[in-house]
Amino acid sequence: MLATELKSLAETIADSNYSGKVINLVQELATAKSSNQVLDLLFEVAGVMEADCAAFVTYIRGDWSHENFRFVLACDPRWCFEYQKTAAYSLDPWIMYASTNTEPICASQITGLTRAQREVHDLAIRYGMNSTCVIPAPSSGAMTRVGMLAIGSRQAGYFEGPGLREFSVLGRSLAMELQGWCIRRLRQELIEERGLTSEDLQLLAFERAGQGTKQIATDLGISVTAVDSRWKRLNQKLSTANRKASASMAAAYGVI
Amino acid sequence: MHMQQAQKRHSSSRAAALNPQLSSPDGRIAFLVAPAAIGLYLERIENLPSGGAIVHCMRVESCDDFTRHVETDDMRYEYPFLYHRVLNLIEGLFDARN
Repeated sequence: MLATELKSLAETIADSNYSGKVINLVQELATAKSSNQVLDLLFEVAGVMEADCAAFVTYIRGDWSHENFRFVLACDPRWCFEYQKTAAYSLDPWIMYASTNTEPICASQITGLTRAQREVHDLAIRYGMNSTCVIPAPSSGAMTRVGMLAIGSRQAGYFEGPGLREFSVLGRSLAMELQGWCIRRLRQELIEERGLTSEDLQLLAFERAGQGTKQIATDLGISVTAVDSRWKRLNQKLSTANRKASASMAAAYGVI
Repeated sequence: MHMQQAQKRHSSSRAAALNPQLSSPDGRIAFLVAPAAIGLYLERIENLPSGGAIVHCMRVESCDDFTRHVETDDMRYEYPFLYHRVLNLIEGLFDARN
């Protein structure tokens, strides 16, 4: 596990090399070629940030019936497996916060928790996140995928003290790069596995923009029948029932 | 519902593509193990009945580490042979490295 010296957050970030070291590692995420490399980088950057643990999760916002989560765990994985037993995603106060906010926050400042939510919070504490900075990683308006980075310290009150604002700038940068990497990977997987062509992506984007068959046919200079045929083939590739479902799936995976 | 089924198929096919030997017979759980800069990279994919998938990416630094990591993972009771196979693979990879 990573080690936190008993320094305050303000003392830690006062080191003149702190930001530079973090940013140097964060920018490596842009060229990471595998999940393996991303996990190594998350461990490394959490160490440089002098955090004890870090966990990033990307998920599809607002569809709790369809859980689709990807966790990158630079922390004790037992926490995540125990968390999963509670099927707590839909009531997780950190995920709920990240789904509707963009500002980083101390986990302790998320108030109004129900008993079940307090249990989720306490579970994180049991696995070493005595003080946690929760950093949302939102996507653009068209996308339904959201990310959340939790950076934890065993030191109680670590993120509650001075220095959170400066730390948040770096944390946001890390969270957004992780989210960007995950979206790129998911997009690539879907395109390659389903054999989507540039014409398919164009069709999906038209649907997402609310264009009907006639309009699409006019824009592409083809017949209405040809547009319908394209949709039929595309829906088959994506194993969906209709074009709306295809476009929703494409948006969820960041393809459009 | 169709979208969920499609995404489930997408996740399942991906899990199978990772390493067919490290999937449960029903495709519900799959593992990818790969050498990493420190220890091994372990990816656990769980395909859910609802149509979604949950993926955990973690680091394993020893065989004991793997045993400890999954001690709170209830799936190890449902698929003991799969978890045993993963442990064997991890042992083999560490042995080969040493």
